[in-house]
Amino acid sequence: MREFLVLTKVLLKSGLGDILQKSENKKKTAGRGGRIALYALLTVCMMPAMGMIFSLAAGGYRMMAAIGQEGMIIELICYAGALATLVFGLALVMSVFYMSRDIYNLLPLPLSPWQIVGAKFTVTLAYEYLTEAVLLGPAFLGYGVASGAGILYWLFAVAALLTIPVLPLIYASVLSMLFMRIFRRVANRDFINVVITVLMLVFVISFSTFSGSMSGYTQESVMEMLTASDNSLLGVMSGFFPLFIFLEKAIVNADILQMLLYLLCLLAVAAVFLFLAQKLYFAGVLSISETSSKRRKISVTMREKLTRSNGVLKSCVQREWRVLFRTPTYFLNCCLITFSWPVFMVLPVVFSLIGSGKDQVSGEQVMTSLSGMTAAMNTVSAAALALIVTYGITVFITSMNFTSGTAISREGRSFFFMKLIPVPYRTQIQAKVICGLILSLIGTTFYAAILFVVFILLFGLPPLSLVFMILITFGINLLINMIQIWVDLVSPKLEWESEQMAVKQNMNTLLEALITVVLGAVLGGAAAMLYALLPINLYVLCVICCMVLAALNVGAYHLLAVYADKRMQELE
Amino acid sequence: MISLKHVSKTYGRSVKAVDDLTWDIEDGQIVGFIGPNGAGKTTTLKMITGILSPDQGEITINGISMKEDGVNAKRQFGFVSDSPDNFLRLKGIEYLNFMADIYQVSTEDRRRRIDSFSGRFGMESALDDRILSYSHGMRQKIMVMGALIHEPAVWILDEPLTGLDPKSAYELKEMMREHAKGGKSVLFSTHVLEVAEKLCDKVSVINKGKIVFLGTLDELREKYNSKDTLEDIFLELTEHA
Repeated sequence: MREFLVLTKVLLKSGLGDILQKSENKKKTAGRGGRIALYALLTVCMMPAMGMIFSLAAGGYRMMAAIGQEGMIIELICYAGALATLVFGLALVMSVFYMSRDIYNLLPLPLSPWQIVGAKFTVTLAYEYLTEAVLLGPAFLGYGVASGAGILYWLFAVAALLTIPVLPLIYASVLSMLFMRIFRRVANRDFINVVITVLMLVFVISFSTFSGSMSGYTQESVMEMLTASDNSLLGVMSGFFPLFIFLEKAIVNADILQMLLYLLCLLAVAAVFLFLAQKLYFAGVLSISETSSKRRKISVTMREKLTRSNGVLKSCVQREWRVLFRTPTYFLNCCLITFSWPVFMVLPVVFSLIGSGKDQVSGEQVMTSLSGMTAAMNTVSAAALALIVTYGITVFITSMNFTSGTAISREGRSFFFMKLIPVPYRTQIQAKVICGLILSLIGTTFYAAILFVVFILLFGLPPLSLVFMILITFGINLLINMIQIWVDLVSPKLEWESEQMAVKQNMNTLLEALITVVLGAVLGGAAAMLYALLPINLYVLCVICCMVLAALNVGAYHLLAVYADKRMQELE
Repeated sequence: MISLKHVSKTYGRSVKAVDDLTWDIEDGQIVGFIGPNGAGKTTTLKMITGILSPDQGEITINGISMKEDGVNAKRQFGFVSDSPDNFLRLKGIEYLNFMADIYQVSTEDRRRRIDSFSGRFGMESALDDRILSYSHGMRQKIMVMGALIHEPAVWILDEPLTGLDPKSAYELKEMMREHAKGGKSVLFSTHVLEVAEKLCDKVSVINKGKIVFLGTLDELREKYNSKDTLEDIFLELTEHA
């Protein structure tokens, strides 16, 4: 037990070091003051979202309490928190348990598998607490304030915050240990990571399907379930996490016995988990090799092909591109996620269309109503609507794509190389922006263009709108990418043990998303207001928008280039 | 030629890693840079290569100031860092070609040099594999090959022999000798005193951020007790400084 505690302490210090410890070098990061300011800014930026969660929970309580179903709010909070932990935890567990660099230092130590897994599990749990605090903290607070809860509620709410991620993380851990055990003969890190990625996507898509089917309930059936008994509507969901029934009852009824029962059950599950870890972990971790090798002489044709000279910028882009696509964590978080958005967005529509086939509207009816809508609006208004919707989606997807936003952080300990090579810093930054831009263009403009062409053909939108859509989404994509890399450049996360930490546990991405979404909303809102308030032609407005975006991009490019030269010099 | 004038570097507020270093590394010489752990060797090499900025002083490479014209100064040298774990997702050949692109080496030259280096280091059958699959020594070799692909005038190598097998270590030492014979300079750090003794024209001993000896090994023996081994002299220099 002592070894477990010591190991946990060490891993926590090295894993969360950049968050918990003070910075030693002023220039390397933003310094302690800068870091505090960054977290303060992030907290302020998150306030509206946290406030919204608070109000939702409080409002939800009042609404459900009126029909004696307030327990559902608690169930929803527990379920949402657990599900978020499970979805994000799977990749995190894989990364911390099997991919981090410290494994090679830990394996030769006289430690039992359960001790290593237990310590690594605790570190992963600590990461989850950061997310849970933001998501679930305000929800429990909202419920507690609205219900005028007593001391037991608050104590139990804290216990819930601390324990909700445990069960889903155990699921994720057991799943990855089983998976690594099964694939131990063919396993290499990259392969496993990609397979896990696909599994995660399957999970998310399955969940979307499930949610889609939930929407098929009629108002009457929902009312029926609501009046049936406590938690009846969400009971089907908590089936994933059966222990939560005790926790929910404990919180709602301030029942100490139920809480004890929940904690005992959780302890029993944890014990089983550690027992499984003792049996499974080494079998998987000892068989992983980083990548396979051929060890054969390169053919003359390949040699000719691979040793052609390229321009410096092209070569830098090529290198960036190869690393992005060949590193599973980067591939998942930067490339695949961008291409997946359209699938995620279209799926609910498809499922609702399939689901609605039984008793609601059919696909044909949807098309008819859409064309009726555009006919009623006139084609110019429809084009305006299509442009603003495309713009909004583009801002959202590009803001959530962190290829540029983690481009410096991803360099990690190889960052020194950027300073070593005789390539101007601005050229290196350019290469990184180009990669991010290409990915976000494929993820947004490409799909939007297809959608526009369909709308032009089906509903007679003016073809000129397509040209403006391409110009505007290109402009906003470029601007967002430059802002993202700028933020990462201010305080890149260069010390990390696994690639996951550079992308997923990088606070810069949160700040970047907030800044770019707000900026996108301000620009889009201003354009929409101009169109609504002034007697201005849509295409004249589009020209103005393109000019504004071009000016912003030119300005941002020059400022970024100057800043890159200065900041790269400072970073050590 | 590498020239350092009154170069200092402090980490945090109080740890002076390099203290007022003035040092000229002339052409046609192999200079060994030795000192105990934490003496300031790597910091000095990182400042020479532009990875770290000195707090004070000036560094020039072949007369080009690192501060004023960093890009051109960086073209003058090839640097092998003490950590070969870089570009792990690239294939060996891709890494070499990337380096050749960065230093604008012609297609013909790069092919010739890749063939020559891979032959000398026994890396022909590894070039098509990702660096991730290489052993520590192979990674070190590919980094050396990448650093030398543009035939730089100045070689700066941080612990270059660590992890190399005897044949590769021999080859690299031979290459260093050939390079110096051609009137170019080699600066390398090492902990292995025998290597410094056999290979270097001059040694520079650094301790607590200051150079405590600079000259030939004969001068070193002359200055201290010539009967002592190099190891004894080194210990005396660094422990009683």
